[in-house]
Amino acid sequence: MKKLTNILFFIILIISFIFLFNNSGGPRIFINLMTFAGIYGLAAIGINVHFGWTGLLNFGHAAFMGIGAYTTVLLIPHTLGREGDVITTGLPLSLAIICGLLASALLGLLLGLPTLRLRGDYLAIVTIAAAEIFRLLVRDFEDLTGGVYGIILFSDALQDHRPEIITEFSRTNGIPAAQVWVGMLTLLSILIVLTILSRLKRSPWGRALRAVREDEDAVRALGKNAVWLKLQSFMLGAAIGGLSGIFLVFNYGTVQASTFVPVLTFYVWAALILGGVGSLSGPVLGAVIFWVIIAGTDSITRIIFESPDGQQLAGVRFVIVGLLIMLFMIFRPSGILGKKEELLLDVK
Amino acid sequence: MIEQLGNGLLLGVIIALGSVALSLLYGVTRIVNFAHGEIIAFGAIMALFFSSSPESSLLYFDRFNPLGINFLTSIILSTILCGIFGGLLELVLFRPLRKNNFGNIAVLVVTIGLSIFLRHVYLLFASAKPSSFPLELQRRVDYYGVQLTPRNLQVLIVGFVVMVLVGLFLSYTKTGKAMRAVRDSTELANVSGINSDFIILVTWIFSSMLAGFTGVIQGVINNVRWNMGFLILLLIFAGTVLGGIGTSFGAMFGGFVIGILVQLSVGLEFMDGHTEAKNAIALALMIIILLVRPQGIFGKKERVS
Amino acid sequence: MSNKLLSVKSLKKSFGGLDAVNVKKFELFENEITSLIGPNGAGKTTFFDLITRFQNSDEGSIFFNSIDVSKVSTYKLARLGMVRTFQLTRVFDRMSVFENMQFAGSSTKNEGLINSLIQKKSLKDDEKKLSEKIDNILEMVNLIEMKNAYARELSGGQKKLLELGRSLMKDPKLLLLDEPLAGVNPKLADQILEIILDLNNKDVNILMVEHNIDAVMKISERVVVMAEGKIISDGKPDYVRTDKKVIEAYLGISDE
Repeated sequence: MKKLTNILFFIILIISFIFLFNNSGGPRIFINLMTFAGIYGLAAIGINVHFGWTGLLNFGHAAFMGIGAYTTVLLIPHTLGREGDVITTGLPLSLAIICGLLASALLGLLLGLPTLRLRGDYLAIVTIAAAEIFRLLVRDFEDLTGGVYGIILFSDALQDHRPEIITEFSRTNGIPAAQVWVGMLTLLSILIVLTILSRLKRSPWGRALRAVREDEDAVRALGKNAVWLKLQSFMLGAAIGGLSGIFLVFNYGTVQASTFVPVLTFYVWAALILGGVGSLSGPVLGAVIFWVIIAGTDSITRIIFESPDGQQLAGVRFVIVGLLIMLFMIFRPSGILGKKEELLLDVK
Repeated sequence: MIEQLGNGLLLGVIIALGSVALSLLYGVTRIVNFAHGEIIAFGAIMALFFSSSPESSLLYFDRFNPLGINFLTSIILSTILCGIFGGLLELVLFRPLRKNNFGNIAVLVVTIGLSIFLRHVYLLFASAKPSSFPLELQRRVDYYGVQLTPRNLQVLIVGFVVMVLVGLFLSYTKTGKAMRAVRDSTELANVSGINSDFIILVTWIFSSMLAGFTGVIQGVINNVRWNMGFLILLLIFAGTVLGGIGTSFGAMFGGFVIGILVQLSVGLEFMDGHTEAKNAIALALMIIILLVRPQGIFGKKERVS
Repeated sequence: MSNKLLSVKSLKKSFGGLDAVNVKKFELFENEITSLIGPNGAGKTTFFDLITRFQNSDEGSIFFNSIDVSKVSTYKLARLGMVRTFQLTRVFDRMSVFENMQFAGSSTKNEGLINSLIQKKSLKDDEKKLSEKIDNILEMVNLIEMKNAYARELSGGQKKLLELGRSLMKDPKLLLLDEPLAGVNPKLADQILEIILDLNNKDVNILMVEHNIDAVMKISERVVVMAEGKIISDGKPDYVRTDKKVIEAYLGISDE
C-alpha cells in the first residue's frame, strides 16, 4: 500500500507539473502550489492526530495555527498595525518558533482540559466557538496584533538563513527564492514530524490513543486515564498546527486578522478527508490533491463565468470544497487511498 | 445600556426562533446540523426573491427576476418551500445515512460540508450583496424606553406568538406528542407504534419551516445576505446550549438571553472600541455552560461526555 | 475469616424521584463467587455502575480494600484492582485481539508520550513480557487462534471472551462481570463458567450480574437478590432459591 501511495503521489505531482507548465509562469505557479500544499498538509497532519488517531473533532484548528504564528512573529523584529510601529528587538528565530509551538500546545491544553470530557459533537461546537473568539480578539486588540492591518516585515528573520544555493537556483529558474526556502523548510518539517509520528503510532501511546478512539469507557474500565491521553494528543496536534501556521505567515510575508479564519480550518479538513483520515502521509497527499483541484476549479470558473471576480472564484472553490467534504465523508472517509479497515462510519 | 435592550430583544427573537428550530431537530434526530444556518438563509433568500419588485436589480441565476408578490404571501410561500427543502434533505441525505449506520460524528462533518456548499451556491446564484425586503423605511419609536421601529415591534410580537404556538403544538397535538416521544426515547416510541421515520421527516419539515421563518425575521430586522446563516449560527448554538439542548422552551429562553447579552455587552465600558467582540462574550458563555452545566438551564441531564 | 474486599453503605441513586438504587449495606468477601440477580429494572447494572464509579451516586460510601473510593475516578479504581466488563461487549473493534490485550496490559508509564517517543530498553522489555502474558491468557480463554484477527471479526461469544481476557491482563483483585453469559450459546456458557471457576481457584474474586439462574445457582457460593433498587435477599444459593421474597419479586418466574 505504501508503494502504491508513493507512486500515485509522484504521478499526480508530475501531472500537475506538466499541467501548470503549460501556463505562462508555470514554474512559479508550481512552487506556489507545492508550498501551500506542504503547509496545509502539515496542518492536516495536526488534525489527523486529533481526529484520525484519537477521534477528536477539532473545528477550530485555525486558532492553533494562528496563535503559533502570532506568537512567533511578535517575538522577532517586525512592523505592526496601522501606524506601522517598528519593533526592532526580538528573540532569535529558532527560539521564537519554539515559543510559538509552545503557545499552540498551551492553547491546546487550555482548551482541552475542560472540554475533552465532552462528547464529540459538543467538542466540535466548542472548538469552532473558541476559534471564533480567537479571531474576534485578534481583530479587535489592534495594539497587540495589528488588527486588520496586521504585522509585516518580519520575513527577513527567516530569509537571512537561506543558503546561497537556493538563491542561485531560484534565480536561474525564475522562481521566488523566498518561497522556495519556505517550501523546503516546510517539507523538511513534514519529514521530521512524520518520522516522529510514525514512531509514536506503533508505540504504546499510539495504541492507547486508538483504544480511546474506539471506546473510552472500556479504556477507563481498564485503568487508563482517557482524558489525559486525549489531552496529550490534542496538544501534539495543536503544536503541529502551530508550526504550519508559522510557515503560512512566512510564506505570505504578512499576518492579518483575516488569515486565521474558519475558511482555513475547512480547507485543512478538506485536505485531510481527501487524503485519508488516519494514514500518516495521507494528509500531505490530500493537501496536494486539494490544491491541484483548487487550481483546476479556478480554471473552470474562468470558463464558466468569463472573467470572474474574486467572489465568484471563491464561490466556485467553496462549492467544490463543500461537495468534496460531503462526498468523501459519505463514500470514502478513508480518502483517496485509505484502507477500508480504517473506515470511520461507525464512529459515534 | 437600556438603548441596547431593543436591539437585544430583536437579536434575541432571531436567535430564539433559530434555537427552537435547531433544538427540535437535535432533540428528535440527535444531529447537530451545521447547515441549519443555510436553511435559515434559504428562507430569507426565497422570500426576497418572491417579494422583491421585478424592476429591482436583483437577479437570481443571472436571469430570473424577482416576482413582486405581496410580502405576506411571500413569507408563507418561502416558509413552505423551506419545509420542502428540509424534507428533501432528510429523504435524500440524512435518512440514507441513518439507515447505513453513520455515526453522529460522520453526519456532523457531512453537515459542515453541506453548509459550506449551500452557502456558496447562494453566493454564486442568488445575491452577493446585502439586500433588504421591499418594505418602507420606518423610524424608531419609543416604547416604554425601548426603541424600536413599529415593524420590528410587530416582528417581535409575531416571533413570540409563533414560538408559543410551536410550544403548544408540541405539547398538545398528537404529532407533537409523538415528536416528543421520539425525542425522549426512540426505542420506546417505536414500541408504542410510532413510526419514527415518519416523525423524523415531520420534524425536519417543521424545523426547516421554522428556520425559514427565522430567516425572514432576520431579513426584516437586518438584511438578507448569502452568509447570514453562518453569521448567526454560532449564536444560535449558544442560545440552544444555554437553554438546554432538546427543550423548546429552554431554547427560546436561551436565545433571548444570548441576544440581549450580546447587545447589552456593547454598552459595557471595557467593550469600547471592541464592539465586534460582543459575539465573543456570548460564545465564551456558551463554552462555560457546556463545561459547568452541559444540559443547559432547562435541559435534562443526558450523557454529554 | 475472609478479608473484606468491598464495603458499601447507604448507596443511593435516584432518577427523577425514583430510586434506581437504594442499598443500605453490602459487603463482599474474598474467595466467594458472588452473583447479583433480580428481575429486569431491579437496579443491578446501575449498582454495578455506582460501585465501579461509572456513575455518581447521590449519597453513600464505597470502600475497596479499606480504601475510600466513593469519589474516585473510574480509571483509578480499575488501577486499584477492581475491573469490570460490560453488558454489551466493548471490545476495540478496529484493533486486533492481540492489540486489545496489549493495551489492557501495558503500563501507564510506557503509554506516556515522551516514553513512547524515546522507547528505552525497559519499554521494549516490558512489551516482550507483555507478549508472553498475552499468550498465556489467550490460551486460558481459548482465543489464541484468533490472536491476530480484528476484534470486530469475532463472534459475539468470542468478544465476551476477549473482554474477559482483557480484564485479566490487569491482574484484578475483584472482577465484576456484567452478564457474562448474555446471548451466549450453552457450550460457550459452560466454557465461561469453567474459566470463572478456574479464576476463583487462582484467587481472583468475582462478582457477577447474571440472568441465567441455572448458571448462577451452579457456581455461586453466595447469591444477592435485588428488586426495585434494594437488596431483598442475600445468602447461599439454596437459601435464596426458596426465599419467599425472592419468588415474589420474580412474580411467577419459576426457576425450577
